[in-house]
This record gives sequence, C-alpha cells and structure tokens, in this order.
Amino acid sequence: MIDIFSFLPILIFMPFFATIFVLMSKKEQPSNIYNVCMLAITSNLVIVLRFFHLIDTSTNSLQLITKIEWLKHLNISFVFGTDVFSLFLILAVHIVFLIILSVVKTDTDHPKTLATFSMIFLSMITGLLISCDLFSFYLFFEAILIPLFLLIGISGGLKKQGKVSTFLLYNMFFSLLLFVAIILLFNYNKEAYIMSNVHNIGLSSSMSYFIWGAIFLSLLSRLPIWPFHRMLSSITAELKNPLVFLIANLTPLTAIYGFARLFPEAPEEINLQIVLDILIIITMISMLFISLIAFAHKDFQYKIFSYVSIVYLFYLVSIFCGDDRTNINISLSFFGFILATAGVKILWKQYIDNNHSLSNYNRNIFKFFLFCLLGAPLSSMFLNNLSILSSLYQHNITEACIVFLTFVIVGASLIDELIKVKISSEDKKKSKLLIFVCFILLMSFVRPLWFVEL
Amino acid sequence: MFELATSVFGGAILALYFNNKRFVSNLLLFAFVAYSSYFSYLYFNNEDVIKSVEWFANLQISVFLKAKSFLVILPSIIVAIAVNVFNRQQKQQDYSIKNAIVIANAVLLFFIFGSTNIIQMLITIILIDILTVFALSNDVENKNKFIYYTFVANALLFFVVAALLSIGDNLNISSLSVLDIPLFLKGLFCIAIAIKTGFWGVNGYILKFKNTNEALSFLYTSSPITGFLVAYKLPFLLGGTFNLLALISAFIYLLFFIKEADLKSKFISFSLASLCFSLYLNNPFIYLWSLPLIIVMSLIIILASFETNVLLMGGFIKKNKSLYIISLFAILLYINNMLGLEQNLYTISFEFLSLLGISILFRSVFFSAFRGFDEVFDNIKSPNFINYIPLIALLPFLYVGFSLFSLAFFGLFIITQFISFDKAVNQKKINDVKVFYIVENIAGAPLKAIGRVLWLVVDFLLIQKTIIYSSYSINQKVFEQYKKIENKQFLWIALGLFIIAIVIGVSNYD
Repeated sequence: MIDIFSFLPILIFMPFFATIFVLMSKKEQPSNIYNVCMLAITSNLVIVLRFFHLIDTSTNSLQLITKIEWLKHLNISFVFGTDVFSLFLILAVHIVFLIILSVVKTDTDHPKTLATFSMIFLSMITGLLISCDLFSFYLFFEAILIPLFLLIGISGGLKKQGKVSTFLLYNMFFSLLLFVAIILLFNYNKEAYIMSNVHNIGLSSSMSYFIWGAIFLSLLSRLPIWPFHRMLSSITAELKNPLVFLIANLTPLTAIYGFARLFPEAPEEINLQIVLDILIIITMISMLFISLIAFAHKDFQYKIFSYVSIVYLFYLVSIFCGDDRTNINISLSFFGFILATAGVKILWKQYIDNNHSLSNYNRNIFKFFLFCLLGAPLSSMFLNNLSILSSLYQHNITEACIVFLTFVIVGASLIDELIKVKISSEDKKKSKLLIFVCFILLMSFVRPLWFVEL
Repeated sequence: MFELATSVFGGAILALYFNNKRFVSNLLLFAFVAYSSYFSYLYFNNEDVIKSVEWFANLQISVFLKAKSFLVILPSIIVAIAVNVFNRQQKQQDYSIKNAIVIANAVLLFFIFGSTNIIQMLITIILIDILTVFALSNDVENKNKFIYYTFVANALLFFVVAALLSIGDNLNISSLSVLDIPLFLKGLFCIAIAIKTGFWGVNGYILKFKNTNEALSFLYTSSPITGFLVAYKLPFLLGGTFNLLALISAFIYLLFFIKEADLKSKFISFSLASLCFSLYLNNPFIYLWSLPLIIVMSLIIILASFETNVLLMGGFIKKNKSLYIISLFAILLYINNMLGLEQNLYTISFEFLSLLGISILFRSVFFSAFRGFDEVFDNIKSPNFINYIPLIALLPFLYVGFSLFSLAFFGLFIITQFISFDKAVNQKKINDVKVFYIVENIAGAPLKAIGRVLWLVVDFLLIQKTIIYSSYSINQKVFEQYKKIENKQFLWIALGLFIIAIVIGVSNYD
C-alpha cells in the first residue's frame, strides 16, 4: 500500500489532477478555474511541508527515495528523491505560482489555456526537481518546453511569434545532445543513469569530453549564456502576463538544478578542468554583457530579466566552486529571490495598468521587494548570497570581483525605479497576499527553516 | 536594556502602520526618552551593558557597550529627541512617521556600536539606510543620489564582509583584527566609508537637503554616523590614505562653513567637518563637542522664521538673549574640550578655523543690523522653550571643568564678535560643485555607452535580426490549434491520458 504522505510523485500528480477540473469548468468563470489550481497548489504546499518534517534537514543526501519501474527488460526505473535543496526549490516555485495565480485570476484572456498549461508546467518542473535518474530528468527537462512554448505563444502577448519557435528549436536541439549523452552513458554502464553514479563510472578521456560536453551544452542552453542569451531575453522582456513571465523566468532553474546534481565535485579528476575553465569564462562574459546592457536599457522589464539572469549565472558560478554548502545556499537564496521577483512583477503590472502610479501602500511593498532584490537584509538572499560570494572569493578572487561588479551594475540599473514610482489615489487594490509574502521573506531572513521548526 | 532597545525599535516600526500615528509617535518619544535616561544613569554609575542572543548558524546578536562609550552614541540620541521635538513643534508634513524612523535609526545605532561581529554591523547599517529612504521627503534628485551612493557603499561593504568571511573562520571583530587583510580589501572598505560618511567629493546630496530637520536627523542618525561608527569600530581596516582624505575633507568643509551664506549648508558643513576630523584623529568626541553648536544653528533658523540666508539676518540679540547666552556656554565648552586635545598644527588650525566660522556666524546673526524686511523682523518669534530642552540636556555631558587657557581663548572669541567679517561670506552657493557629474561621467556614462553599443550591435543587429527573425509563420498555425483547448472535447482526451498514466504508474510502483 502506498503511503501517500511519503510518496514523492504525488507532487507531480496533484497539478495534473487539477487540470481535469480546469478543463471541466466554464471559461466564463475564470476565478473558478484559478481557484481549482490554487487549491491543488495549496495541497502540494502542505505535502511539501510534511516532507520537510520527514527528511533530515542536516544532511545533503537524497531521502524519501521512490522507485517506479519503467522498462523491466532494460532494468530502467524512474527514481525520485529529495533533500532540503530540492524541497526549498519546490516550495519557492509553488508559492510563486500561488501568488501569481491569485493575481491573474480576474484575467479573462484564455483562462483555461493559461491555467492548464501552467499546471502542466508546475507538474513538470516539480518532477524535474525530484528526479534522481537521468531518464526522468531528461523527460521532465524536455517536457517543460511544451507548456512553456504554448503559454508564451498564446498568452505571452509577443509581437513576433517567430522568436518562440526559434527558442523552442534551439532548446530542443541542445536537449537532444543530453539524450545522446544519456544513452551513451547507459550503454557504457547500466547503473550510470542514476545521477549520483554518473561521476564514478571511469570514462575514457575522449568519451568524458564528449559526454560531459553534451550534458553541459544542453544545460547551458536553458541559461541566458552569451551569445544565446538573446533567445531568452527577446521573449521574456516582452511578456505582459506576470504568470507567463514568471514561468519563462523559471526555465533557467532547470539548468541550475541539473548542474547542481550533475556537476562533478572534483572536475580535474575526470579530465574536466579545461571544460570548467571555458564554462567559467563564458559565464563571466555573459554576466558582464547582460549587466552592461541592463545599465543602458530603459525598459524595466528588461532590467528585471537581466537581474534574474545575473542571479542564475551567479548560482551557476557558485556550483563550479564546488563548496559543500553551495546547494543549500542556492536553494535558500532562490527562495527569497523568486518571491521578490514575483512581487516586483505583479506590482509593476499594476503600476502600468494604473497609468504609471501606485497607492502609497503598494508603493512601499514595491520598494520592499526591490530592496530584497538589491541585496538588503530583508530576505534569505542576503546571508546566503554573502556565503556564496565568500566561497567564490576563496575559490578565485577575480571571479568574485567580476560577479560583484555585475551585481552592482545591474542593481544600479534597478535603483531608478525605486524613485520613479508615483503615488496615486486611483490605485485601490490592497493585496494582503503580498504583505504575507513580505512576511515570508522577512522570516526567511530571520530563520530560514522556521516552518520546519514550528 | 537589550529588551528595551528592541521594544522601542519594534514600536517605531509598528508606529508606521498605526492609524493613530500621532499618539503612537508621542508614546514612542516618551519610551525613547526613558530609554536614553536609563542609559545616562548607567553612564554616570559606570555600569556596562553586555547582552548577547544566539541567532542561528553560530551568529550572535550582541550589544556590548562600556559605560564610557555611551558618549559616542549620545549625539544621535540627542538629535533624535531634538528632531522629534522640532518636527512636532513645527507640525512638519508626516512628522509622526519621520519621528518614528529617526527613533528607530537611533536605536539601531546601538546595535552597530555594541556589535561584536561584523555581520550584525552590516545588517544594521543597511536597515538604517532603508528606513532613511522612507523618511526622506520626495526630493527626487536628492533621494536618487542618496540611494545610488548608499547602494554602492553598502555593496562594497557586503563584498568586504564576504571576503573577510572567506579569509577568517568567523566574523568576530576581535578575530578579524589580528588577520593579515589584503590592501585591496582595505581600499574598498575605505571607499565605502568615505561615501557613507560623506567625504568631500561624494557629498553633493548631503549638502543639498532642503529641510533643516531632515538634514539634522540624516547627519546624526543615518548614513554619515553609521560610516563613522563602523570606521571607529574597525580601525584595522583603514589605511593611511583614508586619514589623509579625512583631514582634507575636514578642512574643505570648514572653508564651506566659513564662506557659505546659507545657514543650513553651514551647519551641514560644520557637522561633516567635525565628523571627518573625528575620523582623522580617531577620536569620536569632536563630533559630540560640535553638536551643541549645530543645534544652536537649527534654533537660529527657527528664530529667523526659517530664513536660512545669514546675510538677511541680524540684530537677533534684541529678539532672544537666552539663545545667545546658551550659545556662548556651548562655545565655551567646545573651546575647553578642543583645547584638551593634543595640540599640533592640524588641531590648532581646526580650532582656529571653526571658531572663526562661528564668530562670523554669530556676528551676522546676533549683532549686525537686520538686512531683511522690517516687517519680517517685527514678526519674529522666539522658539518655544521645549525646543531648548535637548540642547540643555546635552551640555552637562560636555562639562569637564574650565582651564584658564580656554577662558582666555573664549575671551578672544568674544572680542571677534565686534569685528565684521561679512565680506568673507559668499552670496553665491559655493557648494554647487558638480561633483556628481565627475563621478557619473567617470563611472556611469562610459558603462552606459558600452551597454548601448553592445545592445545595438551584438544583441539587436547580430543576433536578433539574423537568427531569431528567420522563422515566423509556422507558429501561428500551431498556436491556433492549441487555442481549441477552450472547447470541451479536449477534456476527454486529457482525462483519458491521465487515467492511463495513473494506471501505469500505480501498477509499476514497488
């Protein structure tokens, strides 16, 4: 008998289950559609909190391992597992979805489409974040692209749809490389498809370059890496709907998770030092490039996109450092970062809708979120980014300096918006949910695992 | 003490959201005065305050204050009370909120000065800056500059702390002081402190404050004092160049103080000069000794019905003798304390120039003939007595007995009151130095230009126009197909697929 409260894949099924109700509901009542989705997400949140109590938060090892047999004759199973790192990421993604859905629930533009595909996306990204084997990782990694592609195309409000297909083809091409690498690995060693075994199979030098090169390239394709960052930026900077914007900005998380799980602790031992050096150089160039463009840009959404990109690349560089605490720091930092980004995006849309003004109440909340993004001690980002930067400094001073410089440049580009936002009495919306988000962010700074200790 | 401090701070933050802001603000001021009085009691009884609370990951929130070090924080406490009183008396716009923030900032300063670890200092500094953003009036340009410069300074401090964390095992000040810290980090730290304290060259926004009370609270409970306290607590991170810059800044500000006709700019310059000179000597008390004179200048502005041009004042001795007498007492204490320092060329020059500035000011304000409109002079009213209380409360802390030498010096000062120095005061605003343009042109403009070129040439022309625009029409057809999901037949397909997935999943589960 399945113990439903320790069965990890339930997190994948729940949003899928919600899509049935979404499809049954009438499109004339968008709030009903979104309420179903929010109920499913809330249920998942309760289960995630339950999982936090079930696992040992002091270790980095994967727990609650669940094995689902897939191809018996090839002895391939889907393996799911979790730790604090992935649970925090799942928690953050779910809370963000909950907040954004509560905001967009009055939208009447394709509500069923939006709700269905966003639930499928949530399901896929949750699956990816608990996957422990390369096959399930690949499936979810690839499957995420479909709802993303359709959401951007249908509800993104892009002027030129050609960008979406180019983005999809680009991502699919590189995902194929991952597929080839997985097949080769599996062919080499039948146990190699489990993520934790990937580093210990003793590949030859040329094989190692090929397989790791393919894996890294496929993961990099999801990140705004120069010169391909334009694939992502040309789309995200134009997305009007906050839900679609956030979903597009969650895509790089899949790559970060992939790197965190797959990147070898000692790359020099498996002849990967040169690959690592190239990766770091490309990441540094990308960070500088994106931050400088953000500094010159006038569009706030582009600046937010740039900021998000810089943060993801920062996480990537920190993974390359190979510090023991990196994963937990990334997940805690990501928790604060994605919530603050969602808050900023929601209020920015309200600001645009209200003829470039906000009520004093909303303006103060907007400032709070921007301060969080600028690195103020108001969310978990502060201490965790400090810790990550410290590891980076210990690893390589030049890298730490460049990362710091890009943060200053992209942060400075956001500062103008702190002042520009005008007060208006026309804006009557007072979102209590956003105040609650501020509270969560503050608590994440004061004591990151407070809900586990309750 | 610790609990009281956190309660007052918590109260100040809550006050921002209460409907009856005025009542809460009054209550808060009362609590803060009680808190300060208790601290004064500890000071006079020579009792230390030591309190430490475990946070998480071995981090401590600590307040470790020796009784004698109370005087370092005293200027902020007095100014917090004075600004609360002034704002209330003058019925300034949103004064309840501003008063609550000033008190919150003053309480937070204890957490900087009493800190035993560098991370607590950094967090408190940034929190003070955030609260200051909410306290500043909507002077967009000035506020923008403040946020911009503070962001850069705080980012530098953040980087230095991260680097120190990687060099040492922990962030305790005592452990860090024995480490061999790279010069490069010291340089970054000095730049951050110079920006926060408001050294000459990055001072523009401080000198341009439009509201007197706002300027006063900013100088003593916000960025400049936090920079000063951090530098005072972490001298091992400062270099010789920093001291030189502090000295140069101190004398430039003194020249501003003498030459400037605007009284508000005068007191800002004098305050910054004292602050920089305190940093140069690593003696926190110079900043304290100059405070009574700063408050006197604020009171003169109130007396002059908020006229700030000293060349339009004069003859105030006829209107308010008590202010003049208290001012003389404050000057006597200032002279006495300054002469207690080890005398060298710099200290003597500082004493001489500061007294010259004060003499010019007093002559213009109290003794010259009134140069404004007669009707204005006739309607001038003395400040309410309650405005004098913070000044009177401050003076006993400065009394250390009078020496004959200081009395002689004071006599000399009295004599200079009868000499006119009006020509030394400049009608034009000499502080309008385009320092910001220098900084922005060196750092900001080239970065923006590079960013623009990269975006236009690489991003737009090279990538977007060639790669991304290559495919277009296929998508429209695909999206149109999927929009059919709004119809019900999709439901059955999805339901069927879902049931199949569930059956396969459950039957294969181990």
